[in-house]
Formats: sequence, C-alpha cells, structure tokens
Amino acid sequence: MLVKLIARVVVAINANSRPGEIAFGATLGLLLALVPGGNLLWAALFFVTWLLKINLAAELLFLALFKLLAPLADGLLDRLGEAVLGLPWLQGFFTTLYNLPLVPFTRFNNTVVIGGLVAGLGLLIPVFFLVRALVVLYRRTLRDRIAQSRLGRAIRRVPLFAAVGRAAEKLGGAALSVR
Amino acid sequence: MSASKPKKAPKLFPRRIGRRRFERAILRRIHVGGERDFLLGVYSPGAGGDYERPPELSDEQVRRLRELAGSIQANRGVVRTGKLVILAVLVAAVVVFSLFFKNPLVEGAMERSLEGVFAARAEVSGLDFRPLRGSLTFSRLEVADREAPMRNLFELGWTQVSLDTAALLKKRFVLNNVETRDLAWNTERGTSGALESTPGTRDVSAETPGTGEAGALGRALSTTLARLDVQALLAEEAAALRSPARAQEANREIQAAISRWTDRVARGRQDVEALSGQVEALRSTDVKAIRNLPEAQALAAQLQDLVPAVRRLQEDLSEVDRALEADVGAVEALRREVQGAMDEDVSFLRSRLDLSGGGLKNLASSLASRALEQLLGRVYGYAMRAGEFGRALVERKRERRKEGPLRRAGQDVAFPTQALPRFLLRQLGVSVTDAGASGSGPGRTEGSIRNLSSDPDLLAGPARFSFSRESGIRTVSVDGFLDNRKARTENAGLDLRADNLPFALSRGLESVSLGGITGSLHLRTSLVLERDGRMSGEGRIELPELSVLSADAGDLLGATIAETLNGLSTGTMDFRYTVGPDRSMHLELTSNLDDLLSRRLSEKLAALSAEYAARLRGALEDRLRETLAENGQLYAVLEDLEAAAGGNLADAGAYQRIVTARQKELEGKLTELRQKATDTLRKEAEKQLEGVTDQLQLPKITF
Repeated sequence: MLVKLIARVVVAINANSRPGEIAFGATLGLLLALVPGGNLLWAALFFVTWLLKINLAAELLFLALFKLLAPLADGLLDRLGEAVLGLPWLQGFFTTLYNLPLVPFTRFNNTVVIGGLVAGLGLLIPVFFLVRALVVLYRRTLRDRIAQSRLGRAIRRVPLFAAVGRAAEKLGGAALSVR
Repeated sequence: MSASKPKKAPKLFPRRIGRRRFERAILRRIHVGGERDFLLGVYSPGAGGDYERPPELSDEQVRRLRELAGSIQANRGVVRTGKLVILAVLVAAVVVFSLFFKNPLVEGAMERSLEGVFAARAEVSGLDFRPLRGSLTFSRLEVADREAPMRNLFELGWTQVSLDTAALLKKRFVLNNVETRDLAWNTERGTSGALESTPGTRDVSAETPGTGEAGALGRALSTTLARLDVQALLAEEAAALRSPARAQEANREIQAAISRWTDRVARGRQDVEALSGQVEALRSTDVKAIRNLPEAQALAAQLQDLVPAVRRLQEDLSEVDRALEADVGAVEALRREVQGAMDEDVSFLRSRLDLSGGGLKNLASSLASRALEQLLGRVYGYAMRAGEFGRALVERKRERRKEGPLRRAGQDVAFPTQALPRFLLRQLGVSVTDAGASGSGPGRTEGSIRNLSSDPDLLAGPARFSFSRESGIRTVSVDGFLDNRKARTENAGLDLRADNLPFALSRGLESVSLGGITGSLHLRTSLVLERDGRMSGEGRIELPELSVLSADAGDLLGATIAETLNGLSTGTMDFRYTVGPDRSMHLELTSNLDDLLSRRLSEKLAALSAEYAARLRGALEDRLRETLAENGQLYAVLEDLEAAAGGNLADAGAYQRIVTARQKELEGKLTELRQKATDTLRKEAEKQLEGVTDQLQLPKITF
C-alpha cells in the first residue's frame, strides 16, 4: 500500500500533473495529520479533499508520514489550541458553534483539535508553495539528471526503489519513462 | 500485407490552433519541460500567428499527443467533476425521494403496520414526515374494527409527534410536541374495514351506557340518616348507656341491704317476743292488789331484771331502725340515680339522633364532609402516585456518558450552553370527541402535559398538566403541576373547577322520608402536596339548583328538609382540609346550609325530637323492665323490713312504758306500805310506851 502510494506520487511528480495539485494534496495531508481523527471535523476535511482536484496519493502519503510525527507536536498543538480557544474576542463565536446541532461533534473545543486545525491552516500556504516549488524545481533540473545519472540507475536497482519503479511503470506507463 | 491506416490526432490538437488558445489552453497546462519541448516541436508558429502542425504525424507523435491531451484535460479545474456529479445525483435523489416518495412510503408503511397489528384496514391521510426535523404529522388516521368492519376501532384527527433532532444528537430525548386531536372510537365507516384475508366478522351492537354511579354525597347522607332507627340506635349505642348498669348496681345494693337486715330484724323480733311473756306478766300484775311488803319486794325483784333488758332491747332496736332507715335512704338515692341515668341516656340518644337542632346544625357540612373525605382521599392517592412517578423518572436518570476520548491528548474546553435533560416532553396534548352523556350534547375532552423531564432542575419550572371536559353546559377542568426539582417547595399542586356537575342521591334517604335529591353543583378547589407528604387545600361547592323529593308528605322531617332545600337559591360550602402522610384527614367545612337547615329544622324538629324522646324512653324502659321490676320488688322487701323493724321498736317502747309504769306503781306501793308500816309501828310503840313513858324518859324515835 505504502509502495503503491509512493509510486503514485512518483508518477504524479514525473507526469504532466499540475504541481499545485501535488502541493495541495501534500498540504492537506499535513493538515489532516495534525488534526486528530475520530471527529466530524476530520471527516469533513477529508470529504472536502475527496471532492477537490488534488493529488490524493500525495495527500495520503503526507497524511501517513505526518501522522507518525504529529503526536510529537501535540504539546505545541495543545498550547496553541488552548490559546486560540481562550481568545476573548472569539468566545461568542465559539459559544455559538458549541450550541449548534452538529458542530460539537467536530470536537473543535478540544485543544489539540483546534490547535492542529489552526497549525494546519497556518502551514497551508507556506507548505503549498514550498512543495510546489520543489516539484517545479525537480521537474526542471533534477528529473532528467537523476534519471540518467549513475546514482539514479543505482538507486533504481535497490529492491525498494525497484518495486516503486515497477509500480510506477504500471501506473504511469510511459509517462515515467525518461525521454 | 496492406498498409496500416494512419492514427488520428486528438481533437485538442487540430492542424491549426490559434496562438492565444495554444498558449493558454494547452501550453500553460503542460508542466513537464520535455513534453513542452515535444509539443513545440510538433507545432510551429504560422504566417498568421497561429500554430500549425504537419498533416501527417507518426504513431509515436500521436501517442504522445493523446497522453498530453489526457493530462491537459485532467489539469483543468479544481473540483473533481465526476465525484461532484455523483454527490449531486445523490442529493437530487434524496430531494426527489423526499418530495415525491417519502411521505407515501411512510404512509404505506404505517398502514401496513397498523393493519398487521389490528387485522383490519388502516388508513392514514395527510402524512408529512420530516426526518431532519424529527417530525411526523398526519391529518387523519382510521383503524377499522375487525369485529365490526363498518365501524372504526379508533380514529385520530390531526396528530403530530415532533422530536428535537438536535438534542437527539446530544443524546437527549426531547419531545417538542406529542399531540393528537379528536381522538374517537367506535365511529362509523363509509366502507368496510375488513381485510380480504380477514374471516367474516359479526356486528357489535352499541353498548348500553352504564348506570350513573351514585355520588359520594348520597352515600354519606344515607349513612347519617340511617341513624334515625330507634332500635338500631339503641343497639348501636348500648355500650354507651349508663342507666342499665346503674339499675343493676342499684339492685345489687338493695339485695345486699335486704340480706343484711333480714336477720337483724328477725333477731329483734325474737328479742321482743322473748320479753313479751315477762312484760305481759308484769302488765297483768295488779300493783294495787299488793298488800304486803314481800309481795312488793318480789315484784321489785322482777322489775329489777326486766327493766335493763327492755332498755337494751329498745336501744338495740333503735340502732337497727336508724341504720335501716339510712340504708333505705341510700337505696332511694340509688333509685333516683337510676332514673337520672335513664334521663341522661335518653338525652344522649336524642343527641345521637341529630334531631335536636344541635345535631342538625351541621347536617349539610357533615354530609358533604364524608363525600369530600372520600374524594380527597382518592385525590391524595393520585397525587402521591404522580409524585412517585415523577421521582422514579428522575431517579432513573443515568450518569451522563462521557464522550470517547481522543486517541491523542488534549483538553476539552466547555462553553456556555443550554443543558438539556436526558428526557424532556415539552408538550403532550390529546383531545377526544365523543357522543357525550345523554341529553348533554357531544362531549369533548382535552388533556395536556408540559415540561415533563427526567432532569427537572434544568428547567425553569415544574411539569404542568391540564385536563378539561366539556359536555353541553357541564365542564370540568383541572390544572396542576408536578415538581421534582431539588429547590422545590411543593411536590404537586392542583386546581379543580367543575361547573354544572349533576348529582343524584336516592339511597339512604328513607330515614328522613326523602325520596331523592338531585341537582347540579359548581366545585372549585385547589390543593397542594407538600414536600413532607402532607396535602392541604381549600375550596368551595355551590349548589345552585337543588330538587329534593319528600318520600312522605306527611312526615315532618322529610317535608321540612325538602321545603328548606327546595326554597334555597344557592347553597355554598367552603372547606379546608389537610391530609397527613399517614392519610389521616382533617377537614373543616362550613356551609350556609347549616344555619338555614338548623333554624328551620330546629323549629319543626322540636316536636319530632320530643316524639323520639318518648319513644326512646319507652324503648329504654322496655329494655330495663325486668331490672326495674326487680328493683321495685326488692325495695318493697326492704320497706317491709323497715316496717318490721319499726314494729319491733314500737313493741320495745310499749314494753318500756309498761315496765316504767309498773315500776312507778311499785314505788308508790312500797312508799305506801312503808308509811303504813311506820304508822303501825309508831302506833304500837306509842301504845306500849304510853305506860312506860311515865316511868322512863326515852328519847324520841323518829322515822
């Protein structure tokens, strides 16, 4: 599964897909990783990403990767969420939300949830442009070099990367082939 | 071998493409340098500024153009159109289902379910089911009677069940409204309600309406007036009568006196008779006939023995006579006490008859009190049950289940919110239409409950309920509350109002010669069930129209009561009551009927009372006849004893007189004999001394 996801991302990076789709997918994956699951907010975010034209493979890959790392940031997210939920000028808004029928199921009043959401939204634009820039940079300068370099050929012989390559060839066909 | 047909380039890549379109719609969507270079290698700018490609392309070029066309197409837009369309189709399907199929499906499901339950045709119309709002409404529901297909088992008018779905998401069951109007049963149907698979059924004739329940007032009245039976009253109050016991006690006292004095009087008689021989002998002795001293001395000796014996006899008999007289006096006092006790008993029995005017002073109040005690006892029972139900509802409250913890740490911050109880019934309403009582027109009954909750402390007020019934001019309405809040002051309260409520009394009125009492009443009462289980309240009963029938026009009591009550404009009864936790009841009731009845009846019942007093005395005397006869006989015996004792005393007195007379006579005789002897001796001495005198000077001897 993970190999398939990696392969899809590799295919997307090397194919003619928009860099923004990959970047947005990665960014939303980060956002979903920062927000704890098991609540309506996470489900709603995931549903929205399902409708958007983003690279789902990038989203899931980043979600899987950052999900492993997110608990390390829970302390920070907790403090951030506590600060946000304690903002005086937002108390009325939060109270209104809290009394709406379905909104409490988002667990927005949990410090880690709101902290993860705020952090994710805060990182949304920087991470988006960063990933997008990296994709563009890769396509312009590194793609062909890596493909034709000895290192690139050696890496492709490593079993893991060979499996990724085979999966990518199945998924992307000739798009992945270096021209 | 034939030459293969050249492959056709995608429509996105025609031979000529405008410059603007080529750069914006195609070139801008190619993000890989190699692909961009390939495309610019295929297309080249023409003379007019447009991009053109050669008419013939190699297979490799066509394949790459197809791949490019696919990727360019995929790079358009920000929303996945296909998924969005699926979502839109789903939403549209839900909307279409909701608009055109939801209500008929639910309606059909309800009808099939009801038909399955009642085995007869069920019809639901005007159904509106709104799942998001949690509302189910229908304008009419009819369920046929399988036993009588041309009649409905029941039917409902406009009905609504409204659930707060937002609260349900918070695991709170809040019923905003449960209401049904015009509930009716056993109504006629236009078409047969039998299901095709249902076997033939029989028609059921209308039930005979039940006879009216005798009112509590009637029972109470009959209980009181039944006491006018004299013999029954004597039997009932026998234990409380003093005269029978007093008469028996008097008899025992007289019997004891007779036993005590019979022997003593007999002994006195024996003593008298024992002295009678000596006294008779003495009386027959002629003292004048005594001639000499020895005879006198013999009589004196006889008297010397007889005089003290007669004196002792007289003293003893006098003592007996005084004591016996005292005992007879005591017995007479006892007999007077018996008569006094009989008088007291007759008065007591008269008072129990409640016909003396004093008893009837509170006739109306006492009658109403009994009925009210029964009614209030039931109300207290209902109030306690309602309180127990409310407490059970609260006690069933479970601890709020906490939401599942998130897998990652964090704190839940609470914001102000309206806390909802686990169960809340905001409004429950039922109205029932029926044929009503005979002659009063169709009846309508309405009931409602508001704010019934498992967590009453979360609500601003107590649960309230109301009930009303209208049938012609007759109305009954009840408004109350049930409070289970911790800070409550009262457990429950009730305001009851009834107008033109008919009542009829027929049984138990014979004793006062009343054939029946009919009329209508207005009742107002309010009661409160305190936290300690005590119920208290007050109210008023108005009797605007009373129709009293006298069973016997010639009977004074019945005619007077009938005349008094029939002439009354409006009777009122004000009452105040408390019922303790042990159901002990204290009821105070005053009525303007009391004074009126008392005044009218006291005038006419005086005669009746006297008649009853005579009857009572006669009955009491009948009951004590044997005892009183024995009393008279014993008293006669005692009087005989007293007379015998008097005779003994008289005899003793006579003896005393005889002995005294003889004693005086004897003393006279002795004096006479002594004088004679002295005279004789002096004469003899003088005679003998006449010769000696001259010789001797002897001293004179005197006697």
